[in-house]
Amino acid sequence: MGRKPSPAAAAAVDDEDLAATMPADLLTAADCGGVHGHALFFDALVQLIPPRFYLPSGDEDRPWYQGLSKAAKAAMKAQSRANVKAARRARLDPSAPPASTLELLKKSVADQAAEEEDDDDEENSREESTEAGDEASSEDEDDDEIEEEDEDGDEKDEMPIAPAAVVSEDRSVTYEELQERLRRRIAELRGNRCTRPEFLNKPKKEKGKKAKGKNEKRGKGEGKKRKREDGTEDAEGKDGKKAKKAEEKPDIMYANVVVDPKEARRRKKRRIKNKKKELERAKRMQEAKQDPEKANKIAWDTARRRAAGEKVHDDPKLIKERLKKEEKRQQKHAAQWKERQKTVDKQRKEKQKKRTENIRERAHQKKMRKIEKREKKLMRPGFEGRKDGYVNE
Amino acid sequence: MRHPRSGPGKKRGRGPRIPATTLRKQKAALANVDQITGAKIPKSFVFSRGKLPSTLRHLQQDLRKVMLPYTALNLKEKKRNNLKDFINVAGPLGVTHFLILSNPKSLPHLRFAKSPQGPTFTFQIEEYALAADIANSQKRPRCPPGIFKNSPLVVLSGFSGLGNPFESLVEYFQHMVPAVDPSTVQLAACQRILLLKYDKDKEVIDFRHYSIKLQPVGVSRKIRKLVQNNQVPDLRDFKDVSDYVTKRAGYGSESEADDEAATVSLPSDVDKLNQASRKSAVRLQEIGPRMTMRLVKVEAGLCSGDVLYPWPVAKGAVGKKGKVTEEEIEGQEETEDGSEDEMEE
Repeated sequence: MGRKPSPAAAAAVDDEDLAATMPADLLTAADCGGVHGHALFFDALVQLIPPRFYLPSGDEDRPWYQGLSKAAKAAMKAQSRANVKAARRARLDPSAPPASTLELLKKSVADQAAEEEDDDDEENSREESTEAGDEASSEDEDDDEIEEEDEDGDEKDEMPIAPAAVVSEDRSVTYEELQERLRRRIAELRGNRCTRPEFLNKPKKEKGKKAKGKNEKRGKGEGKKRKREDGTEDAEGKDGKKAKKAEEKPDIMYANVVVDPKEARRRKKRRIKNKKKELERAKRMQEAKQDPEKANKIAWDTARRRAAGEKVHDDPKLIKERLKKEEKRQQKHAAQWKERQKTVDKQRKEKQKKRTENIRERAHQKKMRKIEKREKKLMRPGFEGRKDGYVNE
Repeated sequence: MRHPRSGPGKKRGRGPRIPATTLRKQKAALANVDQITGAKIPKSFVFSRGKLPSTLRHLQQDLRKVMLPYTALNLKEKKRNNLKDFINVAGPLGVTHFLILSNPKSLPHLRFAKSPQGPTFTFQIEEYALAADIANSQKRPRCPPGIFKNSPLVVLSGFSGLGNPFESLVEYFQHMVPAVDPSTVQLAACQRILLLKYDKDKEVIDFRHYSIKLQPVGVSRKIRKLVQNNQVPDLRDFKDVSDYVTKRAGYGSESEADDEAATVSLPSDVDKLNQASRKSAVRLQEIGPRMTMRLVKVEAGLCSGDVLYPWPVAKGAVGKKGKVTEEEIEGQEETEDGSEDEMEE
């Protein structure tokens, strides 16, 4: 307890223990003498610490995760996952710049120094343009440099703001550019034109039959070759014949039927709202069928529409049947309603009758009871109730 | 003071009460509708009329597999079932397409029909090969699991610019499978492709069924196998991983003689190997039956009604239930169609 081991002996003991655990470079660093040795030793120690713990991360600009919206949270998660992947790759990439703690530290120091220089230069140029309005000449530069040094102290608090303003201006220009590009791309997709350079420049090769199948996958993946129709956004993706008439050799059609739901409902309506109108139309169509030239056209047209899934109501018999069914159903419902009404009425009447009966009975009973009471008084022995007349008579 | 609305039996209000029957109907309707595109999912029945030899029975089963998942794989039919029975059952089940195999006069015929009142396209099958035969002829037949979980993609080729019967035929085939939205479809769900090619010279339709395989381009075989199998390879003989990777000094698989055109750049991840914005080669391997069919008859109704296609010669109007004609009257058909097209335009 009280015994302090001699520093030399302690150092020797420590050294031996440490030598067993420390890696080689630390040992070599420890061997060099003086400040350089100490510096190397500390460098080696820093090397051992993962950069995550040692270097200051941009914690200040990291937003508070729990306060973000769902979309922002998801975006951050995706970002962190991507970061992890990139870090893993970079770690194993032999040609990438080394990312050991020491290197990163040196890099950050160098960056900071460069930034300060840039800031100073930008400050200089900005001040020149605002004050003098001339381009920077060497004399002005010298003067301004001297001025700048003097004003450095005053400008210190302004400096962080000024470079931010300059940087943001640049960024806003490119951001708008990006937005413009996005808008143009959306308009193109809406208009269903193919302007992707990969596909424009590709020559229309005469390929064998095998390639046709592979073409399909490409078309699917890129979503091109759509037929324009009414300018609606969800244009029907079928490559109809019309689109192909003026176009390339491979006349391939897909089954990408992307249907606007409203249109679909309109076309394939199940229940005809106004059956009578449909009846008229069907009758007219039947008459038209008598005309031989048109008959064929109509027949093919209906066959095509039916094959495509639409319901074509062209048989007036069926429509009449439907009408009759509707009528009958309505009549049945009306009859049921009447029945219901009748039973309700009947029950009501019964109840009321019973009630009035009961009330009358009660009143009657009350009267009878009173009469009873009155007669009871006269039920003396020897007498039988109320006398009818005088005894003598 | 009692609140007029409160009472012992009042439930938690959920707006106007929807009766149970309506709820049930809504649910049933939802099941029939494709959630993504909002269109009705077309379902099919594949069955046969009359006696069939065993090979045709196999063909029927293969066709059922082609139409999966929206078909009845184990549909049981009895001799006494008529077409009417099938029609009656099809309504409530939401079945819209019928594929009917038959063998009149020992010639196999296949009829494609649309259920309630639709047109019927009758084909004579000139040649066919079963899926089992095709698998036997291949060195490495491929049938990954889950390949029949999604409906196939339909591709039609050689049908453009043709006249009337083929126009409606195109519509029929296009609507035989549920609609696909190219902007939202999952690439992993596109695993099969049904190719129908019209041969103008012979006037037959080739029916082919392939499975789609995506292979990343520019990745050497060893690395690809490594990612696929997810197993640690045997590195006994190698000093370093780089030796293992670059041993066979060829980048890209040996069979990579594809053109640029056969590769696509994927818009999204398909699986571990094929990732977004990487190039992948599309490989098709044939599965399923192979058929060569010739259009023989088109009727306006479901195996009934006016005969539209083999244009009846003497009549001049739409024929009424003409006899089955084995050969088509081509020249007349074409001129008629020419005039039809003019009128239509």
